[in-house]
Amino acid sequence: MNWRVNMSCKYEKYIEQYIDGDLSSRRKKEFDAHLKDCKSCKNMISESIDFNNAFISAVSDFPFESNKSSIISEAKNMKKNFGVHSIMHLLYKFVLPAAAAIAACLLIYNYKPVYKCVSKAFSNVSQVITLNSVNLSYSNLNNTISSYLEKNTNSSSKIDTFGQDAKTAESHKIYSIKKNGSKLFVYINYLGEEFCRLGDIEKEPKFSYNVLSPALIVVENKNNKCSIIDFKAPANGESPEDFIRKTFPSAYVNTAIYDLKNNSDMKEAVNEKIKPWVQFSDMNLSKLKIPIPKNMRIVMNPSKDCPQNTLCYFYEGNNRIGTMYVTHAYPEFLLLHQVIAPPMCAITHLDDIITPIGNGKLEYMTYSTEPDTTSCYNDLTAFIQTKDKKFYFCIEITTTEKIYESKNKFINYVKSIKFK
Amino acid sequence: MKANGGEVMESEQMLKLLTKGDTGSFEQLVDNYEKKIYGYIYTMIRSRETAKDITQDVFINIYKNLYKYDPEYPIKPWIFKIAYNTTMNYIRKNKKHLSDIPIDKLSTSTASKDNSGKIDFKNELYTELNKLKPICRTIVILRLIEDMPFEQISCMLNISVSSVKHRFYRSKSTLMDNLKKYELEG
Repeated sequence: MNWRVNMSCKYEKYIEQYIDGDLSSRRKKEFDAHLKDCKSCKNMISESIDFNNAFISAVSDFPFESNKSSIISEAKNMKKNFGVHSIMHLLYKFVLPAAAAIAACLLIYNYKPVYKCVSKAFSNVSQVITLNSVNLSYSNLNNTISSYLEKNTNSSSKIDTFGQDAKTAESHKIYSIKKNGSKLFVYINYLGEEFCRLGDIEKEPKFSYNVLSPALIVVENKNNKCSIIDFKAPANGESPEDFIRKTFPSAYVNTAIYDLKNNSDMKEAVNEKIKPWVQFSDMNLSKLKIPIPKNMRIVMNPSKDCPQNTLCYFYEGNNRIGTMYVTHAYPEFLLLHQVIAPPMCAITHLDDIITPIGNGKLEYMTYSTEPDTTSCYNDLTAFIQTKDKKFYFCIEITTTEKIYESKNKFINYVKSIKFK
Repeated sequence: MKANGGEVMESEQMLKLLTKGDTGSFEQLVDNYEKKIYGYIYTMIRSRETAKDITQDVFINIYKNLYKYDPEYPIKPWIFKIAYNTTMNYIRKNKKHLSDIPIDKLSTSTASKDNSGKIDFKNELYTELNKLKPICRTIVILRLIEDMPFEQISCMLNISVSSVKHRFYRSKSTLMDNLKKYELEG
């Protein structure tokens, strides 16, 4: 077989998802229809499957001799110390975290220079400068949000009806609710019996979508402190120093735009002109995560779901207009993104550029959105529209653990989130 | 992601093991997973002896950390997470000396003509795999060999599902590009 025949088709990007069964039913139908006429895609599917088979066949064939007896014997030796493990468990669960917390407090309060130094190191890792027009100031933004919330408190609230099916599709159920005048569209995807996730499906009004230019960002690395926090080089091998004054776009371009004014049916995204890793001069939407409005933060703080470190600031001229929060990749975390965009705007699946992983280390992550717009939005979304801007609040829940233990628990969790 | 279906039995076994320190259940676990874990590590490291040692360490780590396991969740990602962490620790510790570890190379000298192409392909595949970042290698192996869902890989590696998918598709594409010269059947 000859993998990778050089053919180009706009549907090419769906091939892997198609093979994985990861396309939405709508997209799958569309792709099936396309396949009838497209030899290029047919070939690529067959090549990809051939590659999978060749890979499995090659990698599954390895020399193996069981070492079971040695493993069991070592485990039996450890069994004698099993009680120690229980003590370790207690230590691990309660004593050590408490001790660590006390130690951290002592460190912070008694050694301010250390605190300052660490804080400075983290806050100056990089600065991201947006190049286009996001005109609102930070305080304007907060005022807009506050006034919006105040004006919309008397609207009908259907939060209590949450959980009643609005529509049942093959693998998911869609609910729509209203809360404080904001339309919240909730998409619960059932993967197996135990898994559900929250997303947004825009059903009312119908929407069209288009392709959004990816963000163009300039990273201005002001310091050489990356080594302190063990900054890992990105996949392409560039060191953090290489980021300095470098402009690079976000990785994927298949971002959707919802035009909620337009009651037309969903349209196919036109993305032929836009290629991954191509720079774009006009930035409509960045991976901005501007600080959560205070009233929301107060509500969300007790949930301890918002561990954040501020790493990147967004500037317009000399004015800082936004801050990117880099979030911990904890099993459960909840983010409130606030995205600024012109009237034609979008919600994307937001991945962080730099994500701290365990032990405060940072990992470079590419920013991606998934091509399939119906399955990628695991956000609960509300929007605010002003004269020429729309603001989206996305509550992104990126885990299935703990808060997703049961549907009811999940629903209660959502109900407990108050915007006012 | 919680446990379901066939994984429930294993979870119960693990629970039993947790409460009673039952090595019988642990033996069952070793039977079920030793080859898979060894295969994963062998693909990552490509040295039989090293893979054997790391596999043993993985199971000892599993045994040591049983109290941390939540039986409500599937065991496979948890086991592979330990395997991944143990392997990564090894890679990190031996970064400077990794080149000294003898890499098993499949010999083509005794292979028939029919097989030599496949052996070349296999060697080349391992070489190309080795060029990927360990996390990408892990994703590709877990997805293609272990047929692990993206969601489980995501939970296991603590990165978002979209990031897992993105890395998988990109890594696979790289492998396919770099191995296109091989025209094998099946």
